[in-house]
Amino acid sequence: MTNNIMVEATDVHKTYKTGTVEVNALRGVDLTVRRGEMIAIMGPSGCGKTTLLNLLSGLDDVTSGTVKIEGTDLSQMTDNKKTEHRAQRMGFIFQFYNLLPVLTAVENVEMPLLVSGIPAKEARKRAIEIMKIVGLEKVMDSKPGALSGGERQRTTIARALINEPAIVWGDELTGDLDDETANGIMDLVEKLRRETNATFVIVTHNPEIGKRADKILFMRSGKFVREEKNV
Amino acid sequence: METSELILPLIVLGIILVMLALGIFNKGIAKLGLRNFSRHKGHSAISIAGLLVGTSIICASLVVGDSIEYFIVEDTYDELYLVDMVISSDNGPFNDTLFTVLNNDAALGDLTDGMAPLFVQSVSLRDEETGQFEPTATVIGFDAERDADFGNFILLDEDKTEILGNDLGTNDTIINMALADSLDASLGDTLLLTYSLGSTYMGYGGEIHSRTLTIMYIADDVGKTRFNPNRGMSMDTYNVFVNMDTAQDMFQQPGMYTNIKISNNGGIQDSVDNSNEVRYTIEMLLTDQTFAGSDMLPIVMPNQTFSMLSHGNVVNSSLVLVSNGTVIPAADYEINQDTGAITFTAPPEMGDVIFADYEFAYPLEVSMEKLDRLEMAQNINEMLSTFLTIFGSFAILAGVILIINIFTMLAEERKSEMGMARAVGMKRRHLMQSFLFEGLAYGAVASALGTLAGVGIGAFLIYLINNIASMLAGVNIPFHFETFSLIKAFSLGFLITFGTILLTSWKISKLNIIRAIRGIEEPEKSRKGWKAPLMGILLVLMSLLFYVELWDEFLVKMLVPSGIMVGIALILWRWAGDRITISSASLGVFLYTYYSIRTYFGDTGMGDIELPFIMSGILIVLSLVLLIMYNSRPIIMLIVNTLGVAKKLRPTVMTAVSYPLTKKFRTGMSVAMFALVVYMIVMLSVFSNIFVMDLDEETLKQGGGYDIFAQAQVPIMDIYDVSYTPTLNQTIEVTSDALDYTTITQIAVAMSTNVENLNAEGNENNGGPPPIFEFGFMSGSMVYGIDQNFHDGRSFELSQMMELFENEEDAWNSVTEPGSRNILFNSMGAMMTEVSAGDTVTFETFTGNVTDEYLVVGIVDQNIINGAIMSRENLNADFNMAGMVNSMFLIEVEEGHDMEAAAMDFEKDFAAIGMNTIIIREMAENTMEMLNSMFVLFEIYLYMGLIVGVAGLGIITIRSVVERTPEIGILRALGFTRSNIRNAFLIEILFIATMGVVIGVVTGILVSHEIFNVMISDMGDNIEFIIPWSKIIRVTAIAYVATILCTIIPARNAAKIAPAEALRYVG
Repeated sequence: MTNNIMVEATDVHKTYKTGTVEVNALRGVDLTVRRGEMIAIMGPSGCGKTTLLNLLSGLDDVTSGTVKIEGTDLSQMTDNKKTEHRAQRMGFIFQFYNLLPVLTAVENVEMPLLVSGIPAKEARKRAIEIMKIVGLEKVMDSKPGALSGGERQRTTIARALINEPAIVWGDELTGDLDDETANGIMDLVEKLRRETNATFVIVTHNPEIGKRADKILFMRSGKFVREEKNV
Repeated sequence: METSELILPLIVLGIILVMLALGIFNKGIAKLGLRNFSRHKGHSAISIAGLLVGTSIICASLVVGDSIEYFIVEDTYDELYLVDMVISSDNGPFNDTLFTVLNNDAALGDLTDGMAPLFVQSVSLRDEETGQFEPTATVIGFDAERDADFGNFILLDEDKTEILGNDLGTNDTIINMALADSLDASLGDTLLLTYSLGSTYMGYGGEIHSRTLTIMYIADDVGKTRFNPNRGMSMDTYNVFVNMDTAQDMFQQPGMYTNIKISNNGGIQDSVDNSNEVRYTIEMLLTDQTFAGSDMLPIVMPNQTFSMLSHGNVVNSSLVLVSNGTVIPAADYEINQDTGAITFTAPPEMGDVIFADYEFAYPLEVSMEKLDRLEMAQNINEMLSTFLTIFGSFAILAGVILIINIFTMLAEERKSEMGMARAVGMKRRHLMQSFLFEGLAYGAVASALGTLAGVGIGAFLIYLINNIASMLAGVNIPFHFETFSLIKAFSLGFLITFGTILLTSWKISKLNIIRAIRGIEEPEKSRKGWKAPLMGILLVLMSLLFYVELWDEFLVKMLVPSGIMVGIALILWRWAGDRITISSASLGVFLYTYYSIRTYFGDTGMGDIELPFIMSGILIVLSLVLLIMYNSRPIIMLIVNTLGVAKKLRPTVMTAVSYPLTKKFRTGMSVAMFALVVYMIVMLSVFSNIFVMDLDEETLKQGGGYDIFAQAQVPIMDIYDVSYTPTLNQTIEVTSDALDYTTITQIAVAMSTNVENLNAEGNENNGGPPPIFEFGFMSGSMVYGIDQNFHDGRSFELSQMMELFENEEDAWNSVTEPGSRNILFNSMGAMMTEVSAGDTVTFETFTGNVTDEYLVVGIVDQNIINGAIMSRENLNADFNMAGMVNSMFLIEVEEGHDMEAAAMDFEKDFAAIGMNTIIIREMAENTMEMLNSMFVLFEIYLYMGLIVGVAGLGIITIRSVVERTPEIGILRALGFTRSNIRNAFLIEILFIATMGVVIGVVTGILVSHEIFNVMISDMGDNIEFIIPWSKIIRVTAIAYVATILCTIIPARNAAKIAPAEALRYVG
């Protein structure tokens, strides 16, 4: 059964120090995410959603508690190991797209493969394939500045999925888009999820997005306060 | 200080006052700007380090100029003391009537407070007690009573006793301390003076006389003891003061003077200011007056056909020539009114004694000695400061670019804040003002520190200059600066910084509020407007106007076609877009500038080259930078595909090179900044390499195998048979042991007052006007008469040779073979008189005759014998140098004998004829050291530019890290390790540095090669264009190491940013 667990967080605390003031962003969070599952985390601004996402993905370190990804405790991994793990097993989709403005769309997409040491030609081939899947083959040589919001987010999705990650982290992935485009993006995410069987952990404000997840976890003041399962 | 010089400090003061007023009325804006200045102290410190270089270059230039002016001014006051004006004659002594006329004039008396005659003549002397000798000293005959107005001699005793010198006996002398040191002389020592007598031409025709004097006093080299009207360029003069009667008696010129010194009325400044009025008064007094003169004319050789009178413009009708007591009929001679040369139609015989009595009109020169020297000091100061500033202009320009870059980056970094500020009601001018307050702080601090640094650099440069100058003339320039120079440097530095910030802030304040707040990239500039085409049309029209009006001007030739190309690019931009227009315009400007260097630089005099040199450098470097920036895609691909072969490195390289080539403006500026400095360093390295010498080669080149170069003040028939008759019954044989172990070639020397090149462009023989000699060029030349043994078995090389000769030996032989009209010039002489191999020239002799034509068959690549070289036979015939009279000697010392000892022996043993020697190897060594010091001096200037470049890259890295924090986060999320991040920043900055280095090196080599071809290659055979790779690699390595040191810390800081924190920066 353990093999089926993708993410396991136990009594996770996170405290930020700002000068002499200590802010407890997370106050003992427990979470288990199974392989292939899609979890939505919702809650008001400042409740600790993004902080939790950063801790789960290894972008940040916990103050106390443990986070295990595929059974491995992140705190036991070196920074380089965590980075390697991110490059090979994880994908990220952010609200503000966070594309590298100086690279073209296809170069942005192929970057995770290059970082993982995939040869340039193969990386480009796979990047073009996934660009076609997300419907961006016509603009793949454009730089992010020349793309629309939807196109940028689809590029981010393509970049997140190109290395066939075991888990994809999404932070307000439709937050900056209109409803129609947001729905289109979510349709695409669902489709890809089905095809790749990847695990998705999404932070969102949007209840409509939440409804598309297997379960919704509600946070308040650094703790989960409620859980809803979608049928 | 002139009133106009106050303009700069006043403008600075005005700016500061305006900013203060703005600050008082708008405290918030002032606070914002000033707080931004102190926001990141470390960043500000690095920015200031880069900004202060420009000011320090300007300040160092001014300080060096000040020191040299101070040195000359001090020396002038020290040497001239109370003397303001000097009356002298180029043609020899003049009658004391002239002094009487001046001394008795009441008007002149009102303007002056002292006037005294002098009799000044060169001698050689030896201290009979110590045996030490001095080949060149000056006897100064003075009238103690009249000289009292010019101060006293100050003795060396403890009390510094002051004396007038009125107790000197007929055979007594006062010598200056420099001479006493040189001779190791003491009071009471006997000096044996030898000198040539009679009116002489180049020393010929003189008889050697001698006189003994006893040293009665030794005076300190201060006040009037230092003054020597014949000092010329030498720093130390050896003065022998005697009674006027003694001097006139020694040189057989009773009642004659050579100079009159005058002290003007007034204090230190007034007396100088009155110089023009005094000169005018003297000239008015002398006009239309004639004075009596008399000469004993020298007859050098039997059948010699000319002699010279002391005064050029002799009143013809009054001339009476008496030969052995009998008046010579006027029909038997002719006189040249200009030169005073007499040509006898019936040549006198050796032993004839000819006297001339005549009247002459005013032929004297009234020089405003002190005023002229003070003005010269000021001119040298200005010239040197300008030269050094021009030399540092590339570094100053790099500094300006750095300021633009810093403020553009600051603006980008603060874009969202600025957008927010605009959103809450701050106007565009407020934004500008806030930047200007920040700029005021940067400008003030950087200019103040730059001024201080400039003082330090100036002190170091003076130290280097002293190294050079002390080799030349024992000069030691004191370090000195004027407070006003520091104010000027501060003002200039401040204005450059503030002015650049003003323009930059005007540009960056034009932001779109929404885009700024949301951090949205600026869209590409719309090409729909008509602004660019209109500017293009205006530029084309202005260029054409310049073309029509000033086409002859070199700068116009160089800039106008480039202006037209840029204008056309601006016109077409609307339709053709950035890449095509900018690429074609920059390619066009690059190619045309290169072409113009190739075509026009050769026609430009050295004196006019500075501005074209700077402009061409800027154009060629900037155009190549633009060309590369707008065609960067292939470069990215090339680098990614080569460096990126290593799979792990590929994403790092890709990110590293994509950033700089996307931010074209900022990167272009950084690259240009680096490239300009490297360009100048490469140019200088190439040129210093061209002139770098091997000591053995240079010694052989200059000496041709001879070891010592010697010159005698009194020409002699034969160095192996010299004697003179100091008294009627005494003949002294002059000989030296050194003659036994040396081989000597004797050379006769004459002077031509004008060399006319019949092949010169514009020569009247070719239908044009006479040649105009530019600054630094002269029409006259020395002419040397040589025999076959001068060049037989020697290795003087020819840098130019007419093709009709098979080898250099043939060319040399063609000069000395009987009946030949072939001659050679040395390289310096050829350059000064603008003569090349194959030219036909004539010489005007001192008597005013013009010789028949000579063919210049080659140019000798050495500079000891400086002028034309012809056969002795031709020299004797054309310059009336009958017989074997020699005044120059080239000496080869046999192996096993010491060269220095030989040189010393020659000087000592031939002191009677004023022999001076130079060891050729020592001379070559000095020249080498001097050149090296000069190049070190220039290199220091340029390395300061490198500081700007490296500091600039450091600043860019710091700013980039701040600006790209969110992107660092995403890269870390995507799998970039810390070392990947650090390497990406390092590669990026090294990539920019490499572009700068490559552009600088390529353009530097290209341009220096063309300048070499058109301006330097024909200076000598041995001059080769060699690229100094080792030096270039050293400079590049220094640049890289400094760049890495400057950027490693910000790059490491970037790597340390936690990814979540970086991502939060956005969210």
